[in-house]
Amino acid sequence: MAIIETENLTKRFKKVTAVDRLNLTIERGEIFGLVGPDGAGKTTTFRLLTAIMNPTEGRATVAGYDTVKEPEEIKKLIGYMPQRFSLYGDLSVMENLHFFADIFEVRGTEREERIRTLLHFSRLEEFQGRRADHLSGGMQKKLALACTLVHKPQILFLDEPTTGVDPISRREFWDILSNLHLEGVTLLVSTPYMDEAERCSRVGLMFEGKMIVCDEPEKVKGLVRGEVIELRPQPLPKAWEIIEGWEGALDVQVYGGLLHVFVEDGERGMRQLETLLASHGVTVEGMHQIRPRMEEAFVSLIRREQEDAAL
Amino acid sequence: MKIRKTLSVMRKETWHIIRDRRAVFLVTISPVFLLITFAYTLSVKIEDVPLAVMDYDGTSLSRRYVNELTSGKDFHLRFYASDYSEIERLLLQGDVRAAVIIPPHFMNDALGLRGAQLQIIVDGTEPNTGNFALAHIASFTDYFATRILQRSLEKTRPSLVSLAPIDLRVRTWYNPSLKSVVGMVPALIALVLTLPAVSVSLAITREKEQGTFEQLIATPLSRFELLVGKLTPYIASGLLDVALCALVGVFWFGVPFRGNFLLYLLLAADFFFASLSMGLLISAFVSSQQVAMIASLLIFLFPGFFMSGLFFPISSMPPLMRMESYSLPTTHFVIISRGLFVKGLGLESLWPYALALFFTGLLVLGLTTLFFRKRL
Ligand SMILES: Nc1ncnc2c1ncn2[C@@H]1O[C@H](COP(=O)(O)OP(=O)(O)O)[C@@H](O)[C@H]1O
Ligand SMILES: [Mg+2]
Repeated sequence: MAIIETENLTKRFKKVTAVDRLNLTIERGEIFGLVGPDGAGKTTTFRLLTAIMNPTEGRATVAGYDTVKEPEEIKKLIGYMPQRFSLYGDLSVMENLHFFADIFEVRGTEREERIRTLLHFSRLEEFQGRRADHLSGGMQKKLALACTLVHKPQILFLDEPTTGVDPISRREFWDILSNLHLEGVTLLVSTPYMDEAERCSRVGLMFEGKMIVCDEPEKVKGLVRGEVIELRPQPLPKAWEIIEGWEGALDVQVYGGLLHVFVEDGERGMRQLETLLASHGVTVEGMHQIRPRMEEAFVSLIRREQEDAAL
Repeated sequence: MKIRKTLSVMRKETWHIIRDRRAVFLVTISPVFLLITFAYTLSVKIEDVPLAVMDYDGTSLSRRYVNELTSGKDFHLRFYASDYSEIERLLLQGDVRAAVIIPPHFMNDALGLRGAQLQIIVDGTEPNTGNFALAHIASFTDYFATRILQRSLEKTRPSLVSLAPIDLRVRTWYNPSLKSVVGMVPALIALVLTLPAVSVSLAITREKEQGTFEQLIATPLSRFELLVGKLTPYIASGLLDVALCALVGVFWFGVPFRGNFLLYLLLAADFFFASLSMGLLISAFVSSQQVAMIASLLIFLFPGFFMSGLFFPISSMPPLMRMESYSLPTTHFVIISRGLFVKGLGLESLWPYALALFFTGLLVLGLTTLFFRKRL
């Protein structure tokens, strides 16, 4: 049986529909990535699923419990790490851990052992006595994760756990998550970083409250129409303008000094592009075909969604 | 409700208080500070009221009257007026706030016990000063008259002398001097002790603002555990305030403490139970500290000032307002504090108020548990 299931789950605020008829099924043991730009509705989805906010319409069950009717049952089983740092800044690392151990009723030797393990894996042993608000951003995130793990939750909800964290800590963080995944914990992680989405068993792309796609990373990448050519043109703005106007381009995306051009056929596209740009006096360096990454996939999927909406 | 979880919230809350210098100030020093400020502001002694005198009598007795009236700190004799229009002018220009007019035959009438008359004119634009002047001149005149009476009676019928001082004492009851405001200190204590209720409403809204509330409600911590855990440390800090305020009342303002101090603490805890529950109820509805602050000041401090019987007797309020008065915990505690502190009353006469507070607390805490949702 699915551990999380939603049925037309909808949350409307005065001005926006933050979550729009979401139908989502997550199996036990998955590591599910929720990606999407700011304002897509990720946080609201988490709040609905952690039973701290009531939906306007639709319903959701977590571990078989209804989020509206049996919220307290859900809360015993889950760990939730909100997007904002939400531990007590004036309490030390240890005091925060003990507080959460208390309210989840983790006691005795189990508690001591648990806290020791958590301090170890989050590498906060040396900082036990330090006030939480005197920790670095990355350490705060790790402490927050440790606090949500104190009671060994079955399902873990992590809302943008790596936003604002340096790349090395991000890596460490994902290694921890992978370990939890291996231990059998079901994880729901939101992130604005597309490379992190690659590490999930499935990803869902949210945009303006809707789930645009929801599949395994490889399959999501397969949804991209055409093939991708990467090139470094000089001057770039001019090249971009030319290619945008070219009927052979399905989509053009800029990445730094690079252009990614989506075409039906890579080989032919490269030949056509070369002559096109040369005729306008644009020099091109290192043109080659690439496999679309998550990032290209999402950008082109969102663009397609926007175009459909405009029609 | 699980004791361990509740204790844990209590411990955490205590840490929040003692680690935040502002919070320490708010829950310990500020009630005492407010008490002293209020007591002094309300007891600003009116002194040196500028006075004009018009003496048509011009006898030794009238001169003695004026001398004695203006010899103290209360009045400052600024002008001897020679006619009525001058008095009018002086009052109009604000050169004097009061005038005493002594008619001809004052001495004769007084000594002959024919009811000597005096005219007092007071500037009503400043009612406080006006009332003060009126009351002082009246009581002084009474006192003066009694002594004259006494002396003339001594000559004629010595056995009746003891009648006189009674009247004098009755008059000094109405003396709005420092002494009576100091007598207000116990009631003021009841007023300033609404501050912990403000603190507790801030304690929950602070968690809402800082986002820790979101984390907390996603755990199995029950509403009741959370509310009781929040309430208890603030009741404890409130009891500390009671002790501090009582000390200030006794040693700074010299108000005698005649009741049982332990009973006072117990009834104060009862009062905090009611008022802090109200603070919690506020925080169930608002999500910003600023709104919580304004709401609790509107609910506690201002009505506490005007409706708790602190200044205006409740019995003279219209019925609807009287009902509102009695729904305020402060009203009951003003009565308790006055009765126990100054008059030394015990539970045998204060129990109705104690009971009212207790049931208010139960009702409000019940309502809070009802309205307080573990939802965003
Ligand atoms: N409490 C709220 N009241 C009103 N609008 C909200 C509230 N929470 C979120 N929104 C709106 O809902 C949309 C989705 O927000 P959110 O779920 O926070 O997205 P994300 O986490 O993906 O950035 C946004 O447009 C946001 O402004
Ligand atoms: Mg968000």
